[in-house]
Amino acid sequence: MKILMTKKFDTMKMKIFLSSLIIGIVLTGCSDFLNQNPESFTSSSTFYKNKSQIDEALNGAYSGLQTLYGASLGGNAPSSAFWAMTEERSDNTTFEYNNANRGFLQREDIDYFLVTPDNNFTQGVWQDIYSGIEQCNTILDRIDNVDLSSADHDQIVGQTEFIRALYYFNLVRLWGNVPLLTKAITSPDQTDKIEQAKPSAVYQQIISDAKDAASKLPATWSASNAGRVTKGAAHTLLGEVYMTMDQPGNTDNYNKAIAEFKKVIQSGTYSLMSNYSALWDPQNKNNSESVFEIQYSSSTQASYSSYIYEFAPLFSGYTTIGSFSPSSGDGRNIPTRNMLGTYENGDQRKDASIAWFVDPDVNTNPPYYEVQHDSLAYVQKYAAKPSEQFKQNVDFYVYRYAQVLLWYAEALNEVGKTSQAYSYVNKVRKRAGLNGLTTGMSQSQFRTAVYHEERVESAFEDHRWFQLIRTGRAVNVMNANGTEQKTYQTWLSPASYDVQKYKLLYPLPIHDTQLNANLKQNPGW
Amino acid sequence: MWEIRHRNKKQWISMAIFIVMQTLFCYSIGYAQTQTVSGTVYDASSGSTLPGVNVVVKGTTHGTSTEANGTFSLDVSSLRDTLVFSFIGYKTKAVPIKGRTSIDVKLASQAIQGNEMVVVGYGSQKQQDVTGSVGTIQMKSVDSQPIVGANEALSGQIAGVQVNTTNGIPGGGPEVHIRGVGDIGAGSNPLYVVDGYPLPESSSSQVSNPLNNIPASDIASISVLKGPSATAIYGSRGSNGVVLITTKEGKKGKLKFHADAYTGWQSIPDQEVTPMMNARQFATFMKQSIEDHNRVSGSNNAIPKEYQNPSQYGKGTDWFSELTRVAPQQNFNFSASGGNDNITSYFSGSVLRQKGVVIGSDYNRVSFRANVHANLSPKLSLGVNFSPNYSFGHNGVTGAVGRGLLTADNGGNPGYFGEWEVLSPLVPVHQSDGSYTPMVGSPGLFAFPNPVLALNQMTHKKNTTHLLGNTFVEYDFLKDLSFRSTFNVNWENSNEKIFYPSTIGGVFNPPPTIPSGSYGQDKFLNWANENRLTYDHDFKGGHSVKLMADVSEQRQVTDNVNFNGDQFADNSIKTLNAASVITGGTYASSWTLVSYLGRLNYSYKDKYLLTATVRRDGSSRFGPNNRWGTFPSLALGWRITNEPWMEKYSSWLNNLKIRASYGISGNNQIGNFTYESQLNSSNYVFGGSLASGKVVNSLSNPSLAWERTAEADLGLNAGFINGRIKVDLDFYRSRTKDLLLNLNIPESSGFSTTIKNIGEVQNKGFELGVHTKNVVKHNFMWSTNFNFAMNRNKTLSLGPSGAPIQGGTSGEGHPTNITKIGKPVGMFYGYKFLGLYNQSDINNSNVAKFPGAIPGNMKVADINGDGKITPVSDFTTIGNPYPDFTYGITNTLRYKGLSLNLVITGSYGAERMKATYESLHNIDGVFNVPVEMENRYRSPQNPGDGRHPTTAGSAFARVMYRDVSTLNVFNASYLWFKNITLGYTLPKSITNGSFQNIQLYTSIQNAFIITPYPNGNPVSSTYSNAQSYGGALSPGIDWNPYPTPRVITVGIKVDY
Repeated sequence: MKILMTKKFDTMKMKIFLSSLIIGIVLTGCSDFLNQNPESFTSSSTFYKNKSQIDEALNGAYSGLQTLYGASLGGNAPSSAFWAMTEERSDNTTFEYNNANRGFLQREDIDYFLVTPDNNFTQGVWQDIYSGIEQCNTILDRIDNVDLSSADHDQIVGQTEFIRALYYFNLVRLWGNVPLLTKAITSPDQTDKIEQAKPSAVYQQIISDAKDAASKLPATWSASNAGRVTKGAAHTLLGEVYMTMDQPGNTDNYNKAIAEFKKVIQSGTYSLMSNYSALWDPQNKNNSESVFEIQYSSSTQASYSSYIYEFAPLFSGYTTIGSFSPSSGDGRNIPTRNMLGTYENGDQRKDASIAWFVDPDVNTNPPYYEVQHDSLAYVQKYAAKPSEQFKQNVDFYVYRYAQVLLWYAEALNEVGKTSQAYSYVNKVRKRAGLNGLTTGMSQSQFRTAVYHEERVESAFEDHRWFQLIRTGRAVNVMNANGTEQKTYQTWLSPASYDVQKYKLLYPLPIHDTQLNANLKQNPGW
Repeated sequence: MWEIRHRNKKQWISMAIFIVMQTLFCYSIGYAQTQTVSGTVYDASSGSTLPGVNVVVKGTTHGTSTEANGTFSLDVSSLRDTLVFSFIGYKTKAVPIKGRTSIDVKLASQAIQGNEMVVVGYGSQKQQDVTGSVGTIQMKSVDSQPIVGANEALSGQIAGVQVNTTNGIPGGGPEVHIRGVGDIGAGSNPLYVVDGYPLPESSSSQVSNPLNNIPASDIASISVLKGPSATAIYGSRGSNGVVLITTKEGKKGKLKFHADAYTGWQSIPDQEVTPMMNARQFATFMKQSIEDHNRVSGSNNAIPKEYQNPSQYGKGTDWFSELTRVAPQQNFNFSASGGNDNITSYFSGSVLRQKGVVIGSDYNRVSFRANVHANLSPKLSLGVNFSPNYSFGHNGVTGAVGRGLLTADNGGNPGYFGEWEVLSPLVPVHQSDGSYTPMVGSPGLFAFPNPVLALNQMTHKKNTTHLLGNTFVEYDFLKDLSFRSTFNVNWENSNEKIFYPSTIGGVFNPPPTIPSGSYGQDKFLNWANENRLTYDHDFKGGHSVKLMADVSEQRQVTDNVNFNGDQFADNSIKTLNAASVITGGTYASSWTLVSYLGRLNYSYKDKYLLTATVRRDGSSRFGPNNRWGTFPSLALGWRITNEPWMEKYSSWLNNLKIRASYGISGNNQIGNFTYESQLNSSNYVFGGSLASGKVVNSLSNPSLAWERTAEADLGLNAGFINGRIKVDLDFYRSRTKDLLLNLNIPESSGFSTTIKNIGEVQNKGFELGVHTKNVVKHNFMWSTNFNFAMNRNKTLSLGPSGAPIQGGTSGEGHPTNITKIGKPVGMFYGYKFLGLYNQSDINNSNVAKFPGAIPGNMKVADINGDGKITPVSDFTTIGNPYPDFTYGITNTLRYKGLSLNLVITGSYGAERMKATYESLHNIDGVFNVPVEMENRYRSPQNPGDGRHPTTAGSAFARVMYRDVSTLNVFNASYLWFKNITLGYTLPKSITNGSFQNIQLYTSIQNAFIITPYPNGNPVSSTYSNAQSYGGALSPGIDWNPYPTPRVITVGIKVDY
């Protein structure tokens, strides 16, 4: 018995020795052991290496535009408050006051000219735009290390530059004095060193990007690539940039704008759709009038649009939206009475742009504070019926050919070529079922006419606020609008609609001014 | 009814375990024949009899203690056994029975104390040799106290260790904070080590917290390592402190059984509930606010008919009592242990059933443990500790961090208990036909889905299978040199199923809705291998050396599945296959840690002690540039009482040791792959088809490095009068550098936040623990444990610019906390309330105002002095979330068989911010409001109490009232009677024979709190808030957590 134990013991010793050896061997693989690779996400250190990855990055840069130009209540549709800063702030739209939902007060402040630097919604737009710029900068920084044909290279660079130019153009118009970044931020240490640029420097960058894009981009794309930036879009952007850089009275930049619009018109690529209301039919995406259009699709995950949920009157669900959620509708971006009254008699664009909600159950449930609630106007352009809850298939036009024609006319008038301008305005009026303008107008009469035409033609397409600023009329128009609003919006604080010149630029988000000592707040705020 | 089932279960379990043990380990049944030995124990010097002396058969845990007159009587299996007599303050004496049946023993008093072994991490040490700051609870010393959970054994016992039940989530465990605010970057959870196995962070969630998950009766001891000098041996994971839990082993000797069972009732203390307006008060409030609005704005809004005549209403619906209940809980533990020379084993099983105090929530757990240790040869031993458990329950309400609904709206997160406060008291729970009122809304108010309906009809089930296993093999190469290798596994798989039937509406969205649901699965496997060599030798001349070297590696692989289903056809099938739209995906992640560590313990003649440790950790969580960190420590101790020249004081001074230590520990709780810039999918559409896209979503930081805490600790342990008084004292100062913080960065970078090493924070503190045995009489024992701790926290630097860091987010998107150099981390930040504007303020252009201010609006300080009141720009520091000091007092009294245990903890000087005011202070007329709003400003003639503003005027002014201001910050000092327990041990005369010990007890946990903090528990937290990454930048925020109940328990413990 004892002998047996000892023998057992010796083999045991051996076994333990072997086991220790095995453990030792396992542990020598340590350095590999510490290299864990992320399985559930892609890392930028391993990405941007080949064409398909650069293509994906470019698609990612485009997707930021879905967010910027989107609107959504609920669901996962990409959206920001850009529409509130550019359309609802103007005299075109306001919102339906809902006492029971004060959670969006800061967005209402945008409409009332009560914005403060801590506004979450303006900060959100700022963030969305800079996030988009970072994507563009990353592509432009990394593309030279990727093996691409020069044609592919140019097309990708051209699209990226256009998107970056569009982002900066929106940014500089909203905030003026903004940081100008043309290289991607790649380390936390760089974030402390971001500097503020003068608007002129930002415009210079926009022009240089847009010009380069125009030179590199094709005039059209194949059907499967419909929606990509074209040469015409770059010229249109350049034209609007030049128009914005000038106030009426100067001519240099208007002449430059004329040259750009002329290229678009003479390209022969574009023509007006015969029917205005058909423009927002999801069947007619990327039509002959579309110069640059944000693409959405209800059949894809999280790339759908969801405008009607935001823009439909409060709780108007079944009636306005279709078969989902009877109480849907947020009552935002509601046409003002001023907007309703601005359409000429017989202008087909009114019914194509605006629909009416008649509440069958007035004053019972729930009570509305807007006196006109029992028959309330709302934006019709983006009211296509969703295929599923929150999923709409409506695109958003950044640039339409009709705008190019009107801007061309506006610029011609500004440089004294009023007589040449009529035909372009009249093309647009004719399509709307109206007679042409009577010839013989003075420059300022024509100005008024073309401003009106632009307002109704591109109502609710996020152009109105920029037009008021560009044409120097924002303070007057908006103060008058405020006076009018206060006559029927009894809850309005006396402090609202106090439109002063400094308010034409939004305050820089306090988030950034507090974290970045280089950033000086816009004057007045 | 339950009692009957209970008993059946008990019998079933004990029988099952008994059979398992018999088949597995063929115990010798020969023990069944016993003999009785009796005798008396005397004090050797005075000759008086000694009560309460432990008498144990050597090598077993079988024993008894002497009666009041010093006598004892004990059954032994053999008269060849040896009895061991031990008593505090006396030298332990082993007396071989040598065939006698009557033995009288004299015990000599001793000056030396502290021979108990203390688990200190990677080994154990004699208490007297410990040089770091370690607090220990030997569970056998509290066995006689009828405690319910391990956390109660720890609560209030160790200075600087806060153990609090901060909310009442069924199945939820305590929140443990050790010594100050160390790691402000990552979570503040300590590292839990069970039987030598450092558990992954994922195991320290509230429910799987080992202090909660392991039944108290299975725990042999808990050690708490405080401060880096003690925790440096755990290197990168040590800086929040370490809790070492050692489970029970079987003891050689007769098979022993233990069973305990309790049943309890949980309820929410009234003082923690905010008094909300009843129906009549609320209708009056709504009527008056419309009148006030009309008067101020000159408009003529109609008063809805529901509010026109408030006197028609009575109390209306009290949503709090509709949603809460007195909830029962039951627990049953059973264990069996025993062994022979070759094998010892400990088996246990436990069942917990708990209903939540909020309706629709419950938790049930069945757990088992088998600890089997075998000596295969004199030099080789093996062991397995294996503990599976399974839990299931309904957790629709958790009191999650943030704001939201009790029940989920479309895409919303459910679980916010605070919703009850804002519901209209005018709406009944049931309609006249007895069915549920589908929606709760009154004119002007948010219309919420009826939460009683929702909690009763939704499905929110979670079940978790959890396995914890430790195996070890130990081989003694030489007498002094041994090798130990362990392999540990922690595996968990949890499933969560959620279904919202069509009967539950959304906000403003009455049912029927489209049914939706989700399915989630979280799975992780963590394993660790450790290989340790220990050399332990006493050299001639009093030099004693103990060397330990260890190589270990640990890895965790996590897989998650999360699918949401929408548009179910109907309510009949609740699994996702019935959903017509399914979104979601599967996710995977992993981390690894490789460590090399060593320790030297040296002592000379038990007088001079030295401990030096070093650990080198490599973690996959850091960028390639900074993967490795080294964490050294050095500690010195001097046992002054062992010096010959101290002999003359030994009559009253038994022990005096001073300790000095210094150590560095780190923190790697930053999540996996944080250093990498992450790309997310963000798709676009071309030609109507999906174009897959990628966007950069986070900023890379390859130089992300360890957060390191260096701490110096000076300590003293003293024992007086035969150990009747023990004093432990510690002073410490720690500095944490390169804090891992999730920082806001300028958004013009394209990102909002990034994780960065930044700044330096200092903690200085003082801890005192005093243990006294006030009365040691024959029939009466009274001991007191008092501890006191104070900590001062200061930010020393913050990045190159030194700019303050904001933390937290209020409902208005504003920061709630601010961290500034020279000040504690995360001070409260908001408006400074000055009063309400009166007409002369409005007329006076020197009084700063916001646009549209009217009399009765809040007047706050114009901090930046620009004459305007602007959010954030006019915020200032408005409170300090840290206490001046904390304390705990535990009194234990025993009179004959009766025992009383009273645990009090307290905190003084801290403030807390009520985040819930973002809804409670919403006076837009969309929510119910607290009764105190009756004291609001209505007109110059009726100005109220000056603290509650008018409901009229601009929305901005009303928003200001619910935003962060001094009005939301309250003194949160408290004195908390945490636990009162009364126990009765049946006299031996009754239990004699088949039972060794029978104890009956009743206790009240969370008995009551004395505090100026209004309408809430000043300690409550949502747990995850404090633990969340970067949560330390916004401390002291009181969300509406799941309320902490008061629990009244009745139980029994039996040993046989």
